Amino acid sequence: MGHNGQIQLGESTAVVIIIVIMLVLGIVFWNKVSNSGIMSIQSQSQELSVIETANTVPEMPELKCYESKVDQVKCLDWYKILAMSNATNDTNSKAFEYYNYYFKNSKITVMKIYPEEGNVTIYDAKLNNNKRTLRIPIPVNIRDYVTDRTYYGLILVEGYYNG
Amino acid sequence: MKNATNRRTFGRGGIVDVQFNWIFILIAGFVIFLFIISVVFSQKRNAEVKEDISTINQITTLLKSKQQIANVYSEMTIPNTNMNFKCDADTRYFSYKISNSERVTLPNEIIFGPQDISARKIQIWSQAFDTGFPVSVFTYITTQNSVIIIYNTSGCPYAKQLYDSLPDNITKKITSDLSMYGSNKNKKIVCFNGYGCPPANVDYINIAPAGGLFGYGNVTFHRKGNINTVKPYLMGAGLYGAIFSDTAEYYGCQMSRALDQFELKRSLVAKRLEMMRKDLEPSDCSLDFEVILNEEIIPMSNPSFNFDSIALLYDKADDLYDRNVDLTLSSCPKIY
Repeated sequence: MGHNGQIQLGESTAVVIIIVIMLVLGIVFWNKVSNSGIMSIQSQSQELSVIETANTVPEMPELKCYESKVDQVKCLDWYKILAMSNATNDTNSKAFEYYNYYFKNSKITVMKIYPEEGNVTIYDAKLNNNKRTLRIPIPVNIRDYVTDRTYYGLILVEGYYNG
Repeated sequence: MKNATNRRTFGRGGIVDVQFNWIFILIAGFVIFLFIISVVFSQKRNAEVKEDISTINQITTLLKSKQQIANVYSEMTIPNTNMNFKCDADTRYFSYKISNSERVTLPNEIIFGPQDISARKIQIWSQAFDTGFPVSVFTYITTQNSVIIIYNTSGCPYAKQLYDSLPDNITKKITSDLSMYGSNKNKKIVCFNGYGCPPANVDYINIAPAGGLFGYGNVTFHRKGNINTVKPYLMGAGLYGAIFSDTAEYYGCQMSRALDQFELKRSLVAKRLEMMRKDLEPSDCSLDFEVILNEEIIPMSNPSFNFDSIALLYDKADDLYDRNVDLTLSSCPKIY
């Protein structure tokens, strides 16, 4: 092979290498863009999951008052709250496993505000508190059928998620 | 002529040089071509996986939402894929998949229907499973080309009762003439014990109510060749479960899962009543709660899926409805 031939071969090799490098760079860039899209979808879906949990809690027969009606303020039964809190306290229990499917990575606290104050955590996934959380408060009535009193309160749903 | 000119221009070394360049370009081009093709194929695969995931998410969301509200009929259009439901009787693990996608678990959903579905439109119906307190909402799945045939030869009162209770959108017939449905592979024939059933060479479900049609009883899954499997049923929700299920095993597996959920809900009711009983001043109400706990709630614990256990559950559930009425009349808090 002559000197000219060697130069031509070198040029061809360089062109091919440059094309391959450009292809690889293009793929890396495209991957990064699509990954950032996936991360944003993931974060959005985690937020939606917390909102879904917040909507589910006051509608659960295990928690709501037996006389609650659609057109009234959402009402929770105080003794059902205590019973569920008791059942889900142990994260290895069947009850925790069952409700984990609905409540996922969240912490759900029922707060009595007026006329008396008091908090009961009905479910806690007990994840790292440093993770970002979305907090959704929902106003509810809390009915105590033993004292026949109704309290004004809140359900506070906090969703733990990576961010 | 042209080659001769080239040969004259390049000489022997030049010809080798040009040929080598062409071979090099061919090989490099082929490698780049393969690379691009592999990228295209991986993208195609990814798009298919994404489509499957999106479909599965849609179906899962819909199936979950059906479990929230009882007594609702709806239809769902899905891509033309095969759906497969699987319930493992030993692990009580319930999952489904579409086409070749990964299985998706549905740990809390109780779904009765054919194990394999290949249709663009599926019909979904739901019923509350209540045993004195709400346990779950059962979901029933069928397709438009399936038909439920209620076999009625001798004016059986249950036949009309069952026919009327099924939603009108589901294909249902009440007849004693099976000849026109012979070729339909998606037919489910239901008959009643003591009122005549189809010949032994036909698959059917024989219902033997013991506590009213929608109370409790036995269901016999009769298969050709006189293979009979008897399973109990509890409440209307359980009876529909047997009717919509393909096999006795699948029905039994879903009912066992339902009884697991029953036990969990029963323990919540027991805890609530126990706490209320302690907090109530000594009164008729606290005494009533103690009686209910000892005579109904505790004896209902850890039921098995057999006839005796189901009969006991039905009796206790019936008592709980009456107790709830009595508690309301005595101005006491209700059980649930």
